[in-house]
Amino acid sequence: MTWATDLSAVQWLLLLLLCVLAGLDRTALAQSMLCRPVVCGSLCGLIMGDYAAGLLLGAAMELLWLMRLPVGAAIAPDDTQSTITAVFLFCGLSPQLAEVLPEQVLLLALFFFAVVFSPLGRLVEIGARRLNDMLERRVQKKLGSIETSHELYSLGWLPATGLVNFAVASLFSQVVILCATLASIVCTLPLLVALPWHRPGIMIYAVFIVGVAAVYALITVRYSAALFGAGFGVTFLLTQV
Amino acid sequence: MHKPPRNLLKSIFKLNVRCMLLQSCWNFRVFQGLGSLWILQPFQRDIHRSDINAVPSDRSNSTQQLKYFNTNTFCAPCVLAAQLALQERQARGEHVIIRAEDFPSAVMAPVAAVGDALFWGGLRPLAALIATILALLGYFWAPIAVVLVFTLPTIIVRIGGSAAGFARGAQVVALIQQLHLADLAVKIKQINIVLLGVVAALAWRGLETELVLGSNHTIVFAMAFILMFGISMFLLRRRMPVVVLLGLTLIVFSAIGSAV
Repeated sequence: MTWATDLSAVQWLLLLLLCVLAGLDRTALAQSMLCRPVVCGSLCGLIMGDYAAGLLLGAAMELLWLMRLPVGAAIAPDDTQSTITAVFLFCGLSPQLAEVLPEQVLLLALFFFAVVFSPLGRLVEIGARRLNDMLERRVQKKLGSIETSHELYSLGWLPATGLVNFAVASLFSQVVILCATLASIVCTLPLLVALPWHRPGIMIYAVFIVGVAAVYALITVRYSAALFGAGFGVTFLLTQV
Repeated sequence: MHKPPRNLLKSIFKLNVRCMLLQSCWNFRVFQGLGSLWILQPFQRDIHRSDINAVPSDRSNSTQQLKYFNTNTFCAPCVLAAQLALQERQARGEHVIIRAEDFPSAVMAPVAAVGDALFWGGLRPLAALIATILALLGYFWAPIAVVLVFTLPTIIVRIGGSAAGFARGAQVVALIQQLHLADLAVKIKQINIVLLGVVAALAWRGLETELVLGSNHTIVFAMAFILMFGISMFLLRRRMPVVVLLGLTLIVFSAIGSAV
């Protein structure tokens, strides 16, 4: 992990900012899509000095839970912090492991473990929302006691408290996923190094196929097979030229 | 039609900035209720003051009430602006077709259904798929597509919705109905399916390049590709976790890489 100490203070600050802002963007703040893997992955890659890897990992992660809609009380696995973890670790570890492990294998292993541990981030977010229940009780109690007053109860503190709650949850989620992914890579590294890898590049495309299947399985519209076939066929013919 | 507030632009700006934090206090008891209460507070304070000066029969029940509130975040400014317009009207002693305090609970579910289908079910996958395709084609500016395709329209809907809410009050529901947003969502979903086909074809081309397949191998591999996709679909629809499917697919493709 010597590479971690080589990062400048500005890089650490930007990474921290990215984790918090992207985490807040999932639910608490604006929902401007900064939290989408393809966006936060690219930004993380840019900060770490390998934009292409960040973009690839982000695009691969993008489709997996795309159709887990953030509607009502539904919470999807934390693909935001998972993507940042995968990009961060890949950019740091790949120069060090270049001689013993193909770059694509490391990329896929990190991607896989980050995906495996992303539901932990979901649990952290559920915890943050449960903590917000206490805010609700506090406000309800206060409103009940000043019902007859001519002045309204000031709620200026409310969003700031909620934001701090969600920001801490985002950071905690990042730490949990990062530690779990790193530990998994360290444990499985001897096995990954020992296995013979032939054409590991094809597995990257396998991830996209799973992503396409995950989205297709959850979109129900008429003539979906025909529309899918049309998109596939036209692209296939155009890319052959 | 309602008489819009005097400083309409200022109200729209203030409401939209505050609506960015609608879900900052999201909780399992009242969902967005705390956020909406905070958003409405400065507007209600003005109405409350005029209410106190009014005769009791004209008062608009502008006291703070923490209630369950849950709607699409991008349509929320529209609902809240309409509620404020109704409340102002009540405070002025005018007749309203629905009371301001009853309006959100009456419209939030239908508005959420339309908004969620359009933004989360249609526009977000559209933006993500366009960005993925651009990334696969090697365009470094792919993430900007997300901003252009998703974020920009949501900002327009937020601002336009709140302006319509302030201007039309409860009548804004009729406007939403006239826009046929549910039909638009279906059309976007159909485009998404076409784009999924594009992503699959690009993935296929990538595999072909990696494997340097001969013509005989191509047919066999194409059949395996289609079978794999079909099995993945079947398993996902049987609620198999994506993680498990991803692991299995990686193992299968690793074996293919060794065999070919």
